Amino acid sequence: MNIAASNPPITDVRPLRGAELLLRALEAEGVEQIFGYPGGAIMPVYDALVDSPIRHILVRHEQAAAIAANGYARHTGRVGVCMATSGPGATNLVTGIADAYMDSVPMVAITGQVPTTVMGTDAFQEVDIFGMTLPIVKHSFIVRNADELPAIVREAFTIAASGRPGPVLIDLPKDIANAESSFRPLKREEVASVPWPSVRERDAIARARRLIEASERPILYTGYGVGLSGAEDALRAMVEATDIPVVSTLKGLGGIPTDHPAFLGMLGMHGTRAANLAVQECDLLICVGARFDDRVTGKLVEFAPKAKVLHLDADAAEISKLRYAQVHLVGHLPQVLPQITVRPSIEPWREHCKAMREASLPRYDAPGDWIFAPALLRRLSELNGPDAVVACDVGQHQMWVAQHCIHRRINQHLTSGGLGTMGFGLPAAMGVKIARPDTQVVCVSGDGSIMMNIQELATLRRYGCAVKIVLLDNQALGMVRQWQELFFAERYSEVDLSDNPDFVALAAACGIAGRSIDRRDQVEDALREMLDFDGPYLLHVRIDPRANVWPLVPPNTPNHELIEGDAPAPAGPTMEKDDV
Amino acid sequence: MSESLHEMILTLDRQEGALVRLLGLIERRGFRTVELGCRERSDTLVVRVKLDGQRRAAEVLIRQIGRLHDVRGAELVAQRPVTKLPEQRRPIVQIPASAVSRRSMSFLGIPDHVSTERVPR
Repeated sequence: MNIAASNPPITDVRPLRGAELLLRALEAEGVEQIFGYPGGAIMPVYDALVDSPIRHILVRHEQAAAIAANGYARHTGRVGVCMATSGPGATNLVTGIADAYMDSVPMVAITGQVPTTVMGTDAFQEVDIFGMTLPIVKHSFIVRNADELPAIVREAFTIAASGRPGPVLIDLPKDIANAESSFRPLKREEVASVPWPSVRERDAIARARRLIEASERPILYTGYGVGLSGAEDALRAMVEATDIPVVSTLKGLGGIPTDHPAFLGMLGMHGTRAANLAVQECDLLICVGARFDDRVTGKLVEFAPKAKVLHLDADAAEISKLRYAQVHLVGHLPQVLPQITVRPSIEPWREHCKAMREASLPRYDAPGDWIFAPALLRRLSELNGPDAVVACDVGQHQMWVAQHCIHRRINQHLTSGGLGTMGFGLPAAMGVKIARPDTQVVCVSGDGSIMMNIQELATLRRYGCAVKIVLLDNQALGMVRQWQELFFAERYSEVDLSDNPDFVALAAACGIAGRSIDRRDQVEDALREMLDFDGPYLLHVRIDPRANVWPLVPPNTPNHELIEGDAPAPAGPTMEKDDV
Repeated sequence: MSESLHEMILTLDRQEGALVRLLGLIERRGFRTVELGCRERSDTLVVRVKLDGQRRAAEVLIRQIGRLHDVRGAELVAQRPVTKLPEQRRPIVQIPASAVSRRSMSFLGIPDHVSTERVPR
């Protein structure tokens, strides 16, 4: 980068220390809050922070800082920022950075580093965080000269947010943070933003339109790219104009509203029968900002076996990575979608899909006395306002949230899709609530996941951060237990959590109100009490330890071979083997 | 044996970590480096690499390489038969335009048969 040309030194002002310059540069990028945790090598930055208008949120574990920044970015669409010291502080960020990489979340992680004079000498709290994170960042920098800081910060934010977003690491050695520089942050207009790829492939557009016109059984398969590119409105316009049935990935939920008549549900391992069968039957799969993840495709060679593929994405590297695309368009989805909006004559297919949709709608009249988690989540979603955000952890409850909550916008459903990070829910919810204090933010967690970042209850208390926590407690690592039941001959291995702590007492110890329920007749009142409570709240819900998530496509199995288990099964249509 | 391997010419910015980032990506994506050479020219590093990847498509790898911020140019100059993807009805022959800059191509004497747009990121 040519720093001198774009950002000449200013000689008539007092030099800034690198740490001050870093914060000025962050301020110039519009950063309002940093989630972080101080320590030795990052101390110059924390010293400069005293004089900065940037709000620092002190978490209780660096992993929570990275995930809070991650959640903030997912909801706001802005670059989230987290910060930690060298060594263990930096390594504790790694899970949150990896999560952001897997889910294409714009984030800048700042780590302190030992002074350059001792880098490479196994100094106290020295780790090569630059090297460690190479596979999980979009890009990374080691700052070798304080004068480079303005350009590095600008470049980091540009890279993090442009194209397919992702995390960027800035590793700042302590002597550089203390060094003086006469440079100043770049003004916004000094660096041109990186443009989105333009759609010039007119021939491909024409071929895409012909594919859609000629199809008899098309399906729109939509993913998180819809949300990342701000293409929700364009997608909805296309669906309204074409009435092509839609299925969604886990992270694409909310791209069109759950209750839209063309929406068949989530596809894949825990997808709806309607979504999975429709994809297996379709003759054209229009993939919009999705990537044929293994949790979506099941047995890849038998995924959508009759379909041609039309793949739309901002990232050229996703084209034909796992499934060959007969036609592809690489570009900005809000620009691409209107150009391929053509209504095919597919009335019998529409009717067939709508019938499958009706037949696949979940039932909530489960037998027994235990609180039925899907019904509780559905009711939670109904009671929540239309702008409420749900952040969840990973496991059975995550799938129940996906299946049973009402999803209206992609950024209202925060879920760790690619990495599957247990412990994601609470810090992610916190990141949203800090940025949007007037928004109702609910964390749905499990008794396994919540313990991964339970210390953040103290952070909620510190900042009066009114996150509502619904803790579904089945006294087990439920998803692992379910797999051991189904695929390991009921040989249960290390999944018992029946000695869980008293979660309500634990919350109380952190100054957080809570309540525990275990009967169905308590659900309505408890949900209302939680949502109306002025402050953070933990609702502990005991559920059946034997409850499983249905439907389920067993591993390495085609998606039409899904099993329904013991859930109250809809009397849906089946798909004959010969149809595939 | 060697003619059945993928061969790429890659031009990197001379930034810290650029080479290890590139080689790490190649291995993580399922390719084995069997021959490697590089030379420094001005502020760039030109890398010629031969790869063996039994089950992965080199066209996809070169697009993944093109996403790296340090990569100025990426050219697939030889490839073994492409692994068949599900529902693949013809081989992918188009080398993505995105990852190649005019500068790198002229420097290496490679015909300017693809777009010179900057890598979309």
